[in-house]
Amino acid sequence: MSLFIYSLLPLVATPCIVLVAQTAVHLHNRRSDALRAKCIGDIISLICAPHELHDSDIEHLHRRYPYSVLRDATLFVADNIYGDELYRLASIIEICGVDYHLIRTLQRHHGTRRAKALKHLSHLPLTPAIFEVAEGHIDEERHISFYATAALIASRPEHAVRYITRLRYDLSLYEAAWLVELMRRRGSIAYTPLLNSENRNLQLLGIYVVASLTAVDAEPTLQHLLSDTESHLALHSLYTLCALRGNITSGNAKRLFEVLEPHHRKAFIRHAVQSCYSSLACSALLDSDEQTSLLNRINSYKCRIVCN
Amino acid sequence: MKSIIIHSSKGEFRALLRGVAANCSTTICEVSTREELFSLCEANRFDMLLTDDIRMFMNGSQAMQRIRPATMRPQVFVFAHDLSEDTIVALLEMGVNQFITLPLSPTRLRRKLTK
Repeated sequence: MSLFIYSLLPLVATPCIVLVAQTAVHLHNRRSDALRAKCIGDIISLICAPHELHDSDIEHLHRRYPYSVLRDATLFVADNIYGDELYRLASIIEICGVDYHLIRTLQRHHGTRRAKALKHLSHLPLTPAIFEVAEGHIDEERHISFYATAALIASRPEHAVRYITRLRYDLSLYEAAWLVELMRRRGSIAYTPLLNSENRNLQLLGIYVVASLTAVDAEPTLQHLLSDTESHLALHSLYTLCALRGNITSGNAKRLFEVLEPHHRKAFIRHAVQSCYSSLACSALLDSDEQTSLLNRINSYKCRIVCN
Repeated sequence: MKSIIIHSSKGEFRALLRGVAANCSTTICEVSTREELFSLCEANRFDMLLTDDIRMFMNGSQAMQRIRPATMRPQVFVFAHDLSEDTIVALLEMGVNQFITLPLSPTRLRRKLTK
């Protein structure tokens, strides 16, 4: 009997332990979220206050919240505001030592923690010390090099094109989106010089800006980018043309479509159908065998829209 | 005194807007879900809604009719990172009064709230 109970014990105890642990994590996260929200409210009250900020006001903030909460709250506020309030936020960051802690983390650790510290530093406003720190990490592993470049662009946005040109690898879409958001926060960004550049990374940034703004004026340049069928940018340009509801049956588009692999062709046609291109437009890209399955797909998609 | 509803599923964003709207001669009410928002709009008068939920207006749920009952026309401000012209035009056609792209300027927002 006792052996039976002992054998049952792990079966009963394990889910209980897991449940208790999950509840503890959930409660901890909820407390952290509430504390972070409170810290954000206090920071906003300080930076929006009509009177001049005193160091004592900021010291009070520094004593009240732990460093991790202060760091996350200042990063959130820095990401979501612009204008004169950023100067006040910069003084809060300096007095609370957020940038100092991040630079220390960067110097002490390697790998992902170093990349994360650089990522956080790239979000901080108006801290010129970041430039010297970030420049020393440009030639390291890819993820560290990328965030070091982002930190350099954050500290000197007027030289963004030069820093991106120095990258020795092709940016992914995520990385391009990250850099475009960073450059937008630091100033205005024009897509025409990016699209017309010879550098692949700058062209990718230009394509991303066109897609996010749905800038229909860029269609001729995108059609031109389709002509280089071996470049991965050509596929991105095709999808961006789709987003702009541009002409996807031009000569360049057809030539690119012919050299695409079958799974890329199917994925693009699915995307074009969902972007409301007609069967006539899509079938111009396909051969006769594929057209039958395409018409079935379009009809099933339209049926889904009507029935839902 | 103006009454403002702040709607967002993210506590940090609600805290940000609350901090900006505080001391603007306003009373502030925060909600985190759409159901709470609709029930609050139907039960109480309010002057302004600040929200970051674009999908509420874009999915055909007729959210605007529930936010603006027949006799009232409160202002609706929507905040988002999205910059595409289609989204902005669609929201304005839905009846949104202002589309504010993030990052926002606290000074300009306070000026709009106190107007």
